[in-house]
Amino acid sequence: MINHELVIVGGGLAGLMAAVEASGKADVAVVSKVYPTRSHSGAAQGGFNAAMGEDDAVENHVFDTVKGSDYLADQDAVEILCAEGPAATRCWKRWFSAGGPGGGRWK
Amino acid sequence: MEITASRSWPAPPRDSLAAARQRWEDNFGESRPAAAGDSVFAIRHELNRLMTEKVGVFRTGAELQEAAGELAALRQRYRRLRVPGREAPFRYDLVEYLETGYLLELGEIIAGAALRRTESRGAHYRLDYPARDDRNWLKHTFIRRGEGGPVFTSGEVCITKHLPGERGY
Repeated sequence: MINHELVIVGGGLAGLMAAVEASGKADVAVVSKVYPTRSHSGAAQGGFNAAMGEDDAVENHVFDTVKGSDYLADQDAVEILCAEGPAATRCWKRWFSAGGPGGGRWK
Repeated sequence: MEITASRSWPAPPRDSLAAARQRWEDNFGESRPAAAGDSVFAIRHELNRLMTEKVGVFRTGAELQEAAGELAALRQRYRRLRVPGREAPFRYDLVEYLETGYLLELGEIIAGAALRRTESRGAHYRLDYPARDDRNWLKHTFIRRGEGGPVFTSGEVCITKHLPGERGY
């Protein structure tokens, strides 16, 4: 039987970023049913949302997310998601775009 | 980060890992008799149709109740299927079998949670309860595996700044 301290199920963007964050702090494994290039982040038709533009604000994204959940989202979690979204988005954009500026860092 | 510390998630049952392992190994039991004339493809197809027709966009308690009954019947049929063998490294019939089992479980979860939530909120639209009901349903649904199917409980929603308001677009 294979043992790890932390097993992440799913090799999409969320799973991979969680694995990178946890690496070095725990013994991590990522389990994916498909080869990870076929994980579903690549099929996200609605795109990804983060307050990246100069005329955008994290607070707007927070409200939009809460409204989108019809007020059922945990707002403390939403605040973290929206606050860290821009840095996370820049990070994976660098990881996954060929020829982009290498060595993207989280934060 | 204080998220998990401040939240009252229900604790998983103590033997859940052992139970999960047993359930997984049961998938490979080869002693079950074959169910003549039935197949995992037929069950999956009927599950598809059922979820679209009765657990779709417009929901009613009556239809959700019917769906729950039909899901139980599909689950009975699924239990009588012969489990595909595991000789070859890639057994797509085994994958199909396992996926269908999980889909049945998810179907039960979706139908059960929708039946329980007697209001309309977000994409969950109940024709018999067309309004949002913050007094009773501004709460999460937690689901865990029980002996006879999913077990539903509720949990508090964390509100920091945005009090529930009318949702217009």
